Amino acid sequence: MQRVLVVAACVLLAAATVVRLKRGGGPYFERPATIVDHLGPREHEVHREILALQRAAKTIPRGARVSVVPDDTPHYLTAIALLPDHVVVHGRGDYVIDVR
Amino acid sequence: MRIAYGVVAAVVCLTTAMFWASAGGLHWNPWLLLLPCGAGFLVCVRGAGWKARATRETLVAITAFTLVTAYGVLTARETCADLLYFWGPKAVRFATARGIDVAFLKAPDHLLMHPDYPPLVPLLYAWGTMIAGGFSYWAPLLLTAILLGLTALLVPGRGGVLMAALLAFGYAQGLAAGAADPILIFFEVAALCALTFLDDPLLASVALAGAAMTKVEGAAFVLVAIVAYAVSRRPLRALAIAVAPAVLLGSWIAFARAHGLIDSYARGATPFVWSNETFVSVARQASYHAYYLPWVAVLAPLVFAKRWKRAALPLLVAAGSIAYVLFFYMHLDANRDLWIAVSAERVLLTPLAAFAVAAAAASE
Repeated sequence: MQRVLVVAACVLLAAATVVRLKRGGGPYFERPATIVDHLGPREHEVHREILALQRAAKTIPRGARVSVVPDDTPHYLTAIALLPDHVVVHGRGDYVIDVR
Repeated sequence: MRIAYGVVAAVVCLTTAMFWASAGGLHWNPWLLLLPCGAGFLVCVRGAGWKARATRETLVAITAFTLVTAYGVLTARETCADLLYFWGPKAVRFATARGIDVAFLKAPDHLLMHPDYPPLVPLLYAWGTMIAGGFSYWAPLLLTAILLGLTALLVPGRGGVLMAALLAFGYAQGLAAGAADPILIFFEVAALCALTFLDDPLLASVALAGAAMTKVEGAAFVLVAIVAYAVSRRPLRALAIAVAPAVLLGSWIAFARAHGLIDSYARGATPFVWSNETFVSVARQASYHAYYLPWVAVLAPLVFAKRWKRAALPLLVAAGSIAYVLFFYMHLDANRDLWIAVSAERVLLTPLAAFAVAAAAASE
């Protein structure tokens, strides 16, 4: 009986996992552009910023002071993460990246 | 199973060496750090004395759940925002500085990253960054799937498959990939299995040290596990097991205090207020938007359990961890509802995993 219950539990959890993964939408077998592409039905708040910062990281000189618009916590912290060779500041930097 | 315990020790030894080197003012050499890492792996992989081997069916099932999670994380369906906001930035800065970047942690703009948060996760990611020559967000995501497989291998018999199924769903629903939770669960399950099935104090102590250095609630788990072991098994040995986590966490808090980083550990001053609304909110999140399926899945096999005595330890730990999760949420916080909404599904994986270990113990 216990074996049957464990198998049933695993099957149900597997089905629930597939349903949860499907909720992120397609395409299902393409390499995503960012790590937040399929977290839910709506676009993630920093999705556009990641794309913009990936381009900016290649063009803005190393060590430059950079700020992002909007200048709120998620966007600021994401900029710190994606611009490790730059100095990300609140307010107005030498380079301002508008990610709205 | 042996390999999983080896990985536990390797990670703890590696990150401890990084922390102590940094505290001593030494810059990291990623290749030299392989020495403590390898030594820890070899000692614990040889010491893990579990005799039973996983059957082919069990291994196939665990591999299947690991691959489903690998698919989920590599198609960006399970990413935790904390990877972007906290763990990633810290890891990148630590790797660049070749040490714990105290100035970065102390900056007022970075307060939301919790400067005194236990450092194991950013240290581990920083080491990977140094070895690879750059930080990739995909690496911590893939690590989540690998850790799921290793965590499941720690649990003997069919319990390993149940653990894999539970975590595959939990990580997907709770968006845990890249966060500290899969690493914390790995250490917690390793400690619980070492105590429940092997009665091995060294492995348990190393795994608990890892848990204490991974998240703030890891310290609460250590306390619960030590008390549960003392009550259900051997009180004196419980004290010996507590030494490694106490020394490691104590040294980190001392380091944080010396550098003016104390933040999360000062929150004991916030008042505890019982709130029915908070309880209901946590209970709602505990449903995992799946009619409480994870709870039913791990508790149903226990109904037909044969060896309750053996399952006493993980059951006590499960009850204790539910208690401390509620305790944390009952402290006043302006953003409590948001806090519960974004974290409860991840932190409740600890009692769920403990119940899964109990189900395995009761059926062995």
